[in-house]
Amino acid sequence: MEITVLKRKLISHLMLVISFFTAMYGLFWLFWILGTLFINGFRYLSLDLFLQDPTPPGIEGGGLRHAFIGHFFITFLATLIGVPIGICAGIYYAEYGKNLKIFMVFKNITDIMVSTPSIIMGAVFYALIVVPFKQFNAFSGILSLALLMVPVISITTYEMLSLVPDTLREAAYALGAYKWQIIKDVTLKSAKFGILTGVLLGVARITGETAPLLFTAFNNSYLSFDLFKPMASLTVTIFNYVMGPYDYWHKQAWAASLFLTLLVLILSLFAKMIFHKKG
Amino acid sequence: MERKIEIEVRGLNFYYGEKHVLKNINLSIFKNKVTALIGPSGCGKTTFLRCINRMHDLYLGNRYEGEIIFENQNILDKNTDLITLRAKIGMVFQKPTPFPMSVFDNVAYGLKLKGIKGEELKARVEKALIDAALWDEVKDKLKENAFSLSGGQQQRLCIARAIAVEPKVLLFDEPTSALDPISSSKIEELIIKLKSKITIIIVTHNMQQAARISDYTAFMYLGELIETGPTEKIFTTPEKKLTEEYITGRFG
Repeated sequence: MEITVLKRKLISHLMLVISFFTAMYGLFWLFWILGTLFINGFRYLSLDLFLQDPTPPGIEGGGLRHAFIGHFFITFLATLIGVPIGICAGIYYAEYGKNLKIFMVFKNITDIMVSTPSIIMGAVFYALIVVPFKQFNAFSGILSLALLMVPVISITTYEMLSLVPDTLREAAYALGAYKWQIIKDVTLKSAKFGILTGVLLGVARITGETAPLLFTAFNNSYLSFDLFKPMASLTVTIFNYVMGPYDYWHKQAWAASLFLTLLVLILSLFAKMIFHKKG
Repeated sequence: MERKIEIEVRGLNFYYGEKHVLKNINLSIFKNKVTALIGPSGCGKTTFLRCINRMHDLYLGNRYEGEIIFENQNILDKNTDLITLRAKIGMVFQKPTPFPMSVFDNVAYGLKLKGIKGEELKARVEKALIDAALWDEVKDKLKENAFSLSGGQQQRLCIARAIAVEPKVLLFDEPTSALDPISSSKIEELIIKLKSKITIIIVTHNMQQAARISDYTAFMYLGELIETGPTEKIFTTPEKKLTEEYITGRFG
């Protein structure tokens, strides 16, 4: 008896040590990356970065105003398209689809889509829009980002609606309500904080994406609001500047990267805060 | 004693998938009376209750056989309009189910569905809350979230919400099992008061409760209706041995 207890304790300690070191391994790289980013990013952060458009290549100075504006423009419109579709799809899964046999197929496909490489979304709209119109354009980039956030939001919406107890729905049915009225007045209201969390996470997801924009919205050195022309985004600009030959490009890319990281961080924290507040 | 039949159940069988849950139930529910359904856990009381407003239809794999006659129609008929049916046959659940909205809006919900607005809405909400013996406690917090009320208050709010739409029948599914004794006795008083206007069917595990508040009692066991009759008779001189054994606490 004594021996088995000792053995169990040993295994327990061994597992603890192993999991501690694996966690440390992951965290080490994470903090190294974040640390480098913060040190370099803060060093090169300046007001000009947000207020100036780029100077001609090779001439020092200027900023990334066009990319900040383009980035918000693209993200905002993608959110506007993706959020309603995602929420509606989640409502369908949770409230209507459960009684269908094909539902599990749909839901599994959506689950897989959450982790689909984002470049595929870009490729889809490259084929559907960019190729036929022979022109990189912001619109195709917006659509690929919107498509990217749909599964994230629909799965969260589905999960949050599934947490609403059935008796609450039954109570509304028992008053003579139609299904759409129950969804609108009771279940969506009960799940609103959870759904909002999903929306924020969806926005956080797309705001850091480069791949879907690379061959859809492409990039632009000038400020543009034309949906059917290439448009600058922070992520693609960072990509180009990092690959570029000029030192001041690299510095601006550091600062822009820091900004994007902070944005995603704040969005995620905000989402967590809202989610915990509801309890 | 005048006895008008509100609901007539004839040869009701109910299946969950392949499982035969209710077996040939025949029962008359009398108008403006309280009928209690008693029996051990899993005997089919709640299943039976949920047949009466077709709540089972929300889920897949259910099958009804037989008839439940209400207002001269078989409500198990495929063409029954469930929305209208459920507006006439309300339900109160085991756990309070307030909606995520204010006290006022909770009671107003069913009324708004019927298109009632403005002053009439206010008057009907107030009347329902008075009838549910809740008005004095909530009249100053009508705008507060319904979750801020205590469990017993929430349950009376749900009763107010159910009676606001003036149903003919109200189904109670163990309405006091999640409440403390004082809240429970308030609900019991309320049920006795409500029967002057509404026919009541209540599922309960608590035999004292059935004895206190019901006019008729139906005893169910393993999906069958064993015995039914006036409550006094069931509790004093039951005809079946099984009923006597359950009532005297020998099983259950």
